[in-house]
Amino acid sequence: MANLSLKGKAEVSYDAIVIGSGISGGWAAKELCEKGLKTLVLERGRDVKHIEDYPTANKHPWEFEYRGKIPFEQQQEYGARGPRMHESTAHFFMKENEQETVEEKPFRWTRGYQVGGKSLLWARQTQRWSDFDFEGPDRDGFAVDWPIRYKDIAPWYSHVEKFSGISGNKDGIPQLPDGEFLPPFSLSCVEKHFQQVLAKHYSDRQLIHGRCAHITDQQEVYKQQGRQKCMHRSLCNRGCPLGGYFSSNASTIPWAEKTGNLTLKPHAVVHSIIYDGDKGRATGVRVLDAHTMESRDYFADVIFLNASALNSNLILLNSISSRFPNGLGNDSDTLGKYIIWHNYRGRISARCEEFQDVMSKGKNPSHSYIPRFRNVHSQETDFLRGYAVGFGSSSRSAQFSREGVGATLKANLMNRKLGPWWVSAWMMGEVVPIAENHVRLHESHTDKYGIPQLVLSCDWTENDDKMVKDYEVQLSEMFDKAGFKNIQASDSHAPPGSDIHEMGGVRMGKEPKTSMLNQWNQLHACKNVYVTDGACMTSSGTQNPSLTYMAFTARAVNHAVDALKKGGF
Amino acid sequence: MERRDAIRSIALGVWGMVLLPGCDSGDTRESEKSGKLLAIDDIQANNLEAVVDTFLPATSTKGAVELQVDQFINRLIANCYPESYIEEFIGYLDTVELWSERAEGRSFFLLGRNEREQILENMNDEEEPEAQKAFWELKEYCILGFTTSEYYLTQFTKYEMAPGVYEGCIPVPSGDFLI
Repeated sequence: MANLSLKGKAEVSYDAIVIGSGISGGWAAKELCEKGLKTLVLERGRDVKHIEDYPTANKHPWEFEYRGKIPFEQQQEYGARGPRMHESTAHFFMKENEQETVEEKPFRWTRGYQVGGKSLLWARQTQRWSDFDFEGPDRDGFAVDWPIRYKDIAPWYSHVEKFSGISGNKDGIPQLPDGEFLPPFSLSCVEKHFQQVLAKHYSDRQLIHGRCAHITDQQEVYKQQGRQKCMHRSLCNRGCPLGGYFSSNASTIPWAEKTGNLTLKPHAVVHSIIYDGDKGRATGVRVLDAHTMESRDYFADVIFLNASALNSNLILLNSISSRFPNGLGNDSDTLGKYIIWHNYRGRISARCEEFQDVMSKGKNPSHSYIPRFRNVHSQETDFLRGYAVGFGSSSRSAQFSREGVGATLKANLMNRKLGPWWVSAWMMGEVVPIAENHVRLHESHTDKYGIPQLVLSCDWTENDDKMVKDYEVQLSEMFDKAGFKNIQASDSHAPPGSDIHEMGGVRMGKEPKTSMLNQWNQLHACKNVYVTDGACMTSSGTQNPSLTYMAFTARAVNHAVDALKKGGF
Repeated sequence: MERRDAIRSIALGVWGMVLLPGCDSGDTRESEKSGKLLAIDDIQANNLEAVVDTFLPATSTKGAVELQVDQFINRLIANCYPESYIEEFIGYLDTVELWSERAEGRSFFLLGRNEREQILENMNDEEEPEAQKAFWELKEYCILGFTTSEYYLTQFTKYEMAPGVYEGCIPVPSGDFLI
């Protein structure tokens, strides 16, 4: 594993290279460095250091010059999202000209190209998969069978949960296994009420505390990371100076740095992975300096690809050799295909007129959750799979009248009253993978680095439409039973990707003929390349996916290091 | 990073949750801030201030002009909106002036408070959609600037950057309390 390769290569040779520093790349870095490997982490964006690069973390609302809006010229840099960007977080979102794409069909691809990636911006919800998810494709006859089951990943869930800090309640629900939990955030009066209503009227539906990556009880392992208990600021996406929620920046990257084995290289845009046909394995990574556009190669024994799902697809598609003319490891011709995401189209809101004598105190950075209840044990609807539900009713809003002019108006603004409890819920539906939903390289269009643009070609199917309808009907019924008023269910018809849970394209499977990765997240045809971000997903499940990427990553690193100890690939 | 932000970050990092509300009042004068100003003439500028003062005057508590809400609105519109909307916004000020000239024969900002209030209230008329739109747009910016000011949030709401807790179900206190 030492840096003893060809002369001249030594200075750019490492034991391992990790492409990407987001939630899974951070985990790869931590695990590799802890196991003693000299590790290079390549990040295409700028460095974001914990605390010092969170410029808005402690800003009060009145300190934002335009109360959150960003100047019009800056809005233009974010394309269609521009008018909705907020000054508190805009600097963590990619600007459009950084990586242009071709939307053959409408797609919202949200990117956070900086050290830490989207781990700064995620919703922090963390649920385990179960065998009801892993066995889904096989049972329902789509995609390919997952090469692993829950028992293979369960210990690695525990491993990452203990370090990250996951709050939750042990609920004993078969389709949503319990984990290593810190105390959960409390439920509001309305959430408790809804929990009881569901328990009374349904045998298959439970409302539970959200499971989320917040430290709710200080322990030694978090102290060692320099992280503290969540203080309920609910300003998470600005970066948390306390490290109260898990991000690469607060946790895995500094942890990896402490080992002395990490080299973190920002502004390093990966062009491709270098494949050596004689050796029959990947030897390194070709990188473009984001400022100088200079090309440079880095070499290592093992490569972890964690560039975020679609960008990992792009890098493999762009890694061309005589052995792999259609992208690295693409013997199955499945690379870039079977792209999946989550169906968040169904929404519902209402008002709860009860519980007027109670309120909440402080802020809840999480919400509650209803695990998937459709088609869990058997097929019972005219669509495949099902949806989980996020449910929120944390607090009563403050209300004031906007009537009047002069002293009357002013008095109204200062006469704030407790408003009703508003309730809302959103669906998180499983999207069934099909080959037609794909990404590919454009034949001629390139981005500013000269790298081919990614063509995004993904769309909803009838299965998704039926699922949204079912969600609207079921949730309306559940809300009605709870006595909620003014129930409004709707279909947002938002394009794929709006969920920011894009997955697949480099799927795992048992057979090299029909999949890209084996049960250890290795490319079947190039064993020293591991893909452990969202690209590896064979099916989407209904869970927020980050926790599963973390577990896959830690498990894959363990496998890679074992393989290296046994003499390599 | 601004020095004051750095100090706060260190305070947070070293001593845990520490709120230092006093060390940063966010009191940079609006007139010292960077960014563009609206290209408006004196009458329009005076009318913007007068509109803000009319909607939210000083009473026993601070008024919106003292809180520089007029200057906030000026910069918000000038910097964060496309040219087409900026023109539309300036048109709202001109509508106010037009109604003032028509009713009183003088510029809006030259009128007494009662006359100014009367003009704005007259503009809020369903039969006059253009005037009503100007009324509500201007009013909403006044409400936005006022209700997001440090004065309002710290004096009249229960503003806490780091409450430290969440309790989902507690009794509503009796008597007056901040929300």
